[in-house]
Amino acid sequence: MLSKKLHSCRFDANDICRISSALTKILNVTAKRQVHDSSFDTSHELLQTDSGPVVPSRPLPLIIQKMDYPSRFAPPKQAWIESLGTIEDEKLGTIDLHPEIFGTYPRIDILHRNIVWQRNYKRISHAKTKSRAEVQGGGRKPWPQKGLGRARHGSIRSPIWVGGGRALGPRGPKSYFYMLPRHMRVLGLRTALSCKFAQNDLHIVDSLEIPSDDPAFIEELLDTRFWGFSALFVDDTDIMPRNISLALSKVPQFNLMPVYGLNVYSMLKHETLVLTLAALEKIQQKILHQMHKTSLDRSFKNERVRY
Amino acid sequence: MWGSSTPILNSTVNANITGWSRQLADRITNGGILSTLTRSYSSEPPDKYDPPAPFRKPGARRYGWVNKLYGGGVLPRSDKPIRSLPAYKPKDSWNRKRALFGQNDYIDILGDGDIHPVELITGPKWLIGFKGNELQRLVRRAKIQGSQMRYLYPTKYHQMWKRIRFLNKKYNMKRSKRVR
Repeated sequence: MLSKKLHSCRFDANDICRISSALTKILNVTAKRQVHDSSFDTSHELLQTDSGPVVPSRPLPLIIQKMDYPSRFAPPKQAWIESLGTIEDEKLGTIDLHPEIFGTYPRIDILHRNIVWQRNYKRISHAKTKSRAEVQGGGRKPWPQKGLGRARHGSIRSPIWVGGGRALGPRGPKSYFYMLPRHMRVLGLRTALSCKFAQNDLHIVDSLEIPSDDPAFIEELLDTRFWGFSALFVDDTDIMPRNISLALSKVPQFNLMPVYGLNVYSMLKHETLVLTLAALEKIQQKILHQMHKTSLDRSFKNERVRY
Repeated sequence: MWGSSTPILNSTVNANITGWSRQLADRITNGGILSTLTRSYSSEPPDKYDPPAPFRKPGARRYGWVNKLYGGGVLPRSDKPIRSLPAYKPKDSWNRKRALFGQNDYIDILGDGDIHPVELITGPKWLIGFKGNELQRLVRRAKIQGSQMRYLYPTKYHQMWKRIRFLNKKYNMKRSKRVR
């Protein structure tokens, strides 16, 4: 069934060999099982032509089925490996995704808590009003207590006076800082990735190399493939290829991010999420590490005061 | 009807009535007896405001009312700018700050683990990674910046300590006072 679907893809056999050998090198570094690369499979039918070289009759898909820590309870999810080289979609193969990261239950409440945390933990409000003690003046009693027939007052800066201090106004720079438990933030990332995958907004590409640095190419690509109005491209390092950096700098809705910058708010703000294979590998590794590690977190200690 | 005569009556009078009735009819048409009785002062002809009954008579309505609404044309003092609400500018949801909001918030999970998101917060030093009510914030500020403030900003220092003493009494020595 897979081969029938890929039958219409047009790419060179040399390209596939190049891509798959590069990928094999990357993925074999951390893999426990050998990467299955079907380009070295000799069971394909080859057309023997009189004039030219040997050409495979059907394209060679990339099937990546390795999993460092496979789940014992659910089969892996599968996603296409696509390419950004041409405007039309070119599917290079499939890859297995960890079901606990890309197939968790869609916990909308967890997403909400993560987004609220992201909005508030950095917030410092500088609103401040002067109290009656801080407003200039107002030390003397304006007129004697009795005898004048006027209301009794002790100071011209009391809150009932015009120009007086504010009784219960905002007081000083105030912070709204708090930290969500680490497992809740990890679950937020997993839920966001699962929701993106389930709604067909997650796309995995081999790399972020594009042929031209014209933003029109990327805009047309997203238009043709119906990827949406906004897209977030995630690579594993913060040094991006030249063409895509130049193209996306002109369009504010398409943004580039390294893996360490990924977050729930950005995933939900952008309609589509595009991950490279290397970024996907890194994300899965980091999240699985957080899910299964037993050591305590001692990197941040609240109430730390440096004199 | 008073002070005026119907055209029908006019025509019938001239045609059919003779003698004494004719005289009477002539007086009516020429504005004799009835016109003096009714005392009409208008200079228009008597049948000008004479519609077919029972419809509303046309004529000047709300006489003496001046229209104060602006009906177009040059305004007085046209050099002065007309004040109005500023034009609506929708916020740019995709400017640099908003498009990349939240980046690096999970850097302790997805990065190498040596940076915590608290280190990314910018603001007053005594508030980074800290949340408290007003008294707690002031005490923390006094701990961190108090010695500096005592000589650099003496008025502020004095007011801060006044406020600390006031809040301490308010929160800890009174009944039913809300801590904020």
